Amino acid sequence: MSNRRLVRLAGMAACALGLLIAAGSQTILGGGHWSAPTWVGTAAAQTGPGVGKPVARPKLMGNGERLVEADANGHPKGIKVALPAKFQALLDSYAIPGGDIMPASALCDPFPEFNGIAIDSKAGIAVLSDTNLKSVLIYSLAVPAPPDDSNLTQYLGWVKGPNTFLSFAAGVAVDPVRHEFYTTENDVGDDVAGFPYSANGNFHSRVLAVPHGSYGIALSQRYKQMAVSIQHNAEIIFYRLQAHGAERPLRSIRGPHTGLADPHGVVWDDAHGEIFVSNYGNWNQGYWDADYSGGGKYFPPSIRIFKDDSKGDAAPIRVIQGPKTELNWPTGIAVDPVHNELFVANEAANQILVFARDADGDAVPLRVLGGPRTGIRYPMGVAYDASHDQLWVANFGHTAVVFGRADEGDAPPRRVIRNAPEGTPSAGFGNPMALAYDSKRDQLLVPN
Amino acid sequence: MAHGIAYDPLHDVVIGTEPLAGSIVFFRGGSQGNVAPLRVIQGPHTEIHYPFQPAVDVKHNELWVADVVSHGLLVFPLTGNGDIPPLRVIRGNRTQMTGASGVAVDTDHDLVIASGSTHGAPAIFTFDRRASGNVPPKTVISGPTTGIVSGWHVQYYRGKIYAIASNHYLGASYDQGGFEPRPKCDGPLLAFTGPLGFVGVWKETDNGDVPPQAIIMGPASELLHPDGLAIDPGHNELFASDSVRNGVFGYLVPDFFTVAGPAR
Repeated sequence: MSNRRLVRLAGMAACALGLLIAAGSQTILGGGHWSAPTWVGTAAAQTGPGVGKPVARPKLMGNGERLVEADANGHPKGIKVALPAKFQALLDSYAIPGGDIMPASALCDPFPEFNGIAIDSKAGIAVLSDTNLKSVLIYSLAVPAPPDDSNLTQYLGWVKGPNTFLSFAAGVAVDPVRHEFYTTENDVGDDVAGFPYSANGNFHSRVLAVPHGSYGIALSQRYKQMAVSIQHNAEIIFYRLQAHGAERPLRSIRGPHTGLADPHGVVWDDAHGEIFVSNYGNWNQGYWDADYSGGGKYFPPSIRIFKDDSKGDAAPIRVIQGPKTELNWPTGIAVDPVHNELFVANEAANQILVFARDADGDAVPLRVLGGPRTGIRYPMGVAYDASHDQLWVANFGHTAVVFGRADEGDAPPRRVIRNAPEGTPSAGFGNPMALAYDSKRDQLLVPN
Repeated sequence: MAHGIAYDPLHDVVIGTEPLAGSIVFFRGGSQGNVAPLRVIQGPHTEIHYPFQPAVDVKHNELWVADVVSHGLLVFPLTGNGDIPPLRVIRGNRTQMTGASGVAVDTDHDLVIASGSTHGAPAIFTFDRRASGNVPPKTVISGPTTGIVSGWHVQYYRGKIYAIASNHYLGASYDQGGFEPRPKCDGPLLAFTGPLGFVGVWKETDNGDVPPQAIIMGPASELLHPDGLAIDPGHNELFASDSVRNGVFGYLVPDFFTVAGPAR
């Protein structure tokens, strides 16, 4: 492995065999072999009101990292984990050249990378999902995190491990009545996992099977339901609160009149009886319908607002869409019902857009928060803290930045929540399932 | 979301497949940031359903795309744009191929290599590159000796097939349409399970239940359930992405790129 290669990788990656490489330079900052994440927590810590129960440590299976839930006989639950016997025999006899070859380079991030966020102002917590290490971190809303503090911010809890069922943790919602939080698993794991606020470590979650591609989640105390956006099937699907197992949905909003196309963030505004959905605009019925021959489509991004008792092929009651809106991959969203404002994490533009809660059509944002001083970079989640009148923004990476609600423009954050030391490069990977080699530039191309 | 990417060195273009929009997008090489694509292949005439890996054939100016849901291989002009029909489609019961997820092209021997399933088992196929329609494969690598429990992407170089055995048990809880939990589903399955995955190398002429000629597999390799695959024979390097590790790993494997000289 030459320096040439290390330099080439530095622009896009976080670590190589544990050697942290400063982005854009040849400086090697550390050393040591990268090791797999270790699970935090013990069975004793896995107790909490209403959700989960202490469990015996599951059996370690062959893959060396993930632990697999076992049935009463000690067999993996419904899962085949053994290699075919004929192939295993070849491995055992070392009949196949190659084998357990150490990588010459490793592009990976040993720290969490934030994604979704939700806040319970009364309980004083912010819950942030992490796609990289497949975890959830819980912070106090009052945590001191001055922007010039380069250290990791102290968290209250860090939930991760196989019993959590967290995989590609995306959307987060909090239930301030039952003191529970929920996360969606956007890829690989098709579930919504529920936890008590007190969860920590490898907590045994309450899990619900959902369609593939879940992203946003929002709760209603009035209906005692949860609404989950499904990217792939372009729908909002509803379950009762605390649903688990293979419970069937209560209803869904789905169909051509909904205008849903790759929906992401969801907010349930109980006070006004409305559901807000951020919509990327990608649409392809052919993904799930082999007989469909209409082809895929790109629609403009939008925020679509539905009556909260909608079901079926219901049309939205309002749609925020158009060039004046500046929407560009609107991802996480939040509503402040007191000041009647809607916050949108405008991911591709590195902005937070603020609209009037009842905005409609090609509306101009009331405020735009974005710029180099804000520290907003690939914002995936946004949440409003009513108790401090502050806005939390979760970047896809190593920081969440906190602002005053009315801050705008290139305003600096009041606080910076760090899940890695300042300056740690972020790989920015989100389930890298494909690769290509650019022979002209000697670069690797990694889509998310 | 992209489940496939390729680089076209002739036109200096990056090509991505987008399942959620049923599209193939083309960007200028070296592009960065929020840039518009040069071209987009999308629409009802394209026959695209769920595009996975693309493969570039600069010799014949063609772009191949594996399509999981339509169980086929689609061929477009490499400089195609808009709602265009494919030049050729390899699809149908005689192909024995379902769930096509990977594709690579061998222009020297006029073959196309594909990964997918056959009769419910993971498989690597070769077809005549010039073929179209419901045609039988020339070879099918499949069976317990292969070690493949589930496949993903493939690459080709000088008589060798490089294939990902992801071996990732993807047990979807709901049907593809997301309407109902699958029969006997009593809850979600753990996400990251299945036998250990690997990168395998086969001879292009292999056929049947054949073990790989070489593998990268094991705890030191850092691979659990690899997905994407890229090769750089000029530097003797092979790269694999792993969605469980959420990372990309590179291997110096000069022996993997020696000319196999397969008997023909």
